[in-house]
Amino acid sequence: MNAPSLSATDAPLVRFLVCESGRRWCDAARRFVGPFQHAAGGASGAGNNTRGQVQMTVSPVEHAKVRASLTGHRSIAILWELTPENAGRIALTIAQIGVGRPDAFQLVAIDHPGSPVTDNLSLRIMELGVAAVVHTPEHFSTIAPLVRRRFADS
Amino acid sequence: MATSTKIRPLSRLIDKTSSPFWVIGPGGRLVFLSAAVGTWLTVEPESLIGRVCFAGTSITDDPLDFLAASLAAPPGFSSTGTASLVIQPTFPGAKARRIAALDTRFVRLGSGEDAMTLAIGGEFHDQQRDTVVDAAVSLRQQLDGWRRHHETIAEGVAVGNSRAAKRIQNQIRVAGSVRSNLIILSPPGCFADSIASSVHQRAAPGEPAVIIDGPLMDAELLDASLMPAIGHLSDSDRTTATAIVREIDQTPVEAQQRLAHHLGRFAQRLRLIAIASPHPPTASSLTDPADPDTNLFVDEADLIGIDPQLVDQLCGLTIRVGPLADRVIDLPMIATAMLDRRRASGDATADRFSRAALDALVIYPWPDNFRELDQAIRHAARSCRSEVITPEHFPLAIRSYRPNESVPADQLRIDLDDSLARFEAKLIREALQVSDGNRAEAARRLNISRPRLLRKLEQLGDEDS
Repeated sequence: MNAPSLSATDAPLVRFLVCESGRRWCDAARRFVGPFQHAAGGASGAGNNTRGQVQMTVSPVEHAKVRASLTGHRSIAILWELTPENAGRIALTIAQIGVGRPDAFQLVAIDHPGSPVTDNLSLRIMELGVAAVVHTPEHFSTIAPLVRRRFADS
Repeated sequence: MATSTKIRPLSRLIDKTSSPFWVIGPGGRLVFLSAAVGTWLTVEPESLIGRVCFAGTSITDDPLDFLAASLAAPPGFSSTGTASLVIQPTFPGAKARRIAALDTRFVRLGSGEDAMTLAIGGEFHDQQRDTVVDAAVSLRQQLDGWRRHHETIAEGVAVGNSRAAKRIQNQIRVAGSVRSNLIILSPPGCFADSIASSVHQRAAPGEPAVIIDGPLMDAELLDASLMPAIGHLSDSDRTTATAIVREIDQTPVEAQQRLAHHLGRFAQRLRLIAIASPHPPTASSLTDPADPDTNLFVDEADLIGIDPQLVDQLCGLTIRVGPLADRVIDLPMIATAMLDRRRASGDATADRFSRAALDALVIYPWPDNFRELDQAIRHAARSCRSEVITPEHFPLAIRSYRPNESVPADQLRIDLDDSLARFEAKLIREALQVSDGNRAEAARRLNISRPRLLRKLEQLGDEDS
């Protein structure tokens, strides 16, 4: 008989995976989506009123281990860093996860907004079922409420 | 020919004046002398026409050449184009005599080899130093600079395209278009002082303003601080003044009541711009504790809050400034505006941020809001010697900041009894399931007595029902 795990609150626990080459988007996710350490006092960003309803754990993950990381977690969000170089591989994985785990909430971060290449990438990748495309960390602050509401309703 | 017909009347007009006037031609020779020059030098002006007039001395022994040379412009005139000199003409020889000194202004007309020199003698007072005037001019320059400084800072707070930025822009625009009492609700570090000064200058340019630190006041101190404004208002029925009160919600009640008294005494002529924390409560009087509109004490012992009489005065216009952390989408624009201001004032050589630097600004939580951002920009501007500011140029707290996974305090609240009860219920249900509903077997598995298990099952049944 296994002892049940104790969570801090009854709020749903969401695992937020970030697949990127550096740590830029992981920092942004922790700042705007995750359990931000300076969130108390309402000075942490938009949507604080709903933040407490969802518990997110943000963690970086390598591309090769993303699919393995999905098992055992009911609520999953994935943020992919997309570049023209890795677009093919990432798009294939996004499509595979979209079929195997349609409940997974997938986001894409594409740098250098405004260039024809990235604009085209944004359009193409949205067809694969990506929920949102962010271009800069500050834009993440506007997307964050969408992520929290998505899991607050589930 | 037309020129000659016009120059003659001009020449006659110049001759009528009492101030000596002469012209030195491009070749350094005198080409014109007014009649007043002759009176001053006691020689015929025509006798000096064509004589060499530079270097201040003559190369011949002719006294008239000496006289002409003494009319020359001072050294350095060719580069400055204007000069002043007190001319003391010399008239050597047998007819030597004393000639009065004359304050003279020299002005160059034209440039290069064709340049002429106009010389005007007389009494001029523009270069006499008046310490009172100098102090007033200096104060005026500093005041203008201070106003511009605050105006640009206030504009910096309103920079951006977000809804919050547009709201602040509209609120500042409306507040600046009408002279009325105003309350600015702002967290610390949001340049509320600058916003107040900017709004005041826009709504009532030139109107005197008194800035008061509210928490330091009592009734007497408030009177003393407001004395210049009260004196100004008492001079005439038409004079106006403004009082900018910081932290009005932290101001002692007696001082607030005194301020309300002054506002009532001078009616609309004394304007109040109050600065308070974002959600100030109102402090009511103890005589009316049942009134829900005024029964919002912060601390009954200190009666700290905003007096209802002042609330009535301040209810018309409000500017709400949010924390910088709520303006993340505007942060790059705000930071760039602050850098531009630093650059315009000569404090910075950099003109832009790298993307990594902007990322660092976006990630940081800014507990001290705009003031901390401004200090970070100043630090970066001073430490950056190139055109691009990178994260390394920011203060250590910002460049080393990384959001971590620690759970905020409000998410760490655990109801111990509730958690233990749920844990116990889960164990009991699992034990019953393993025992196929046999309660005695389940009690043995849980190492408790059967009656105790039955009591717990009754409790669970009550909770489930």
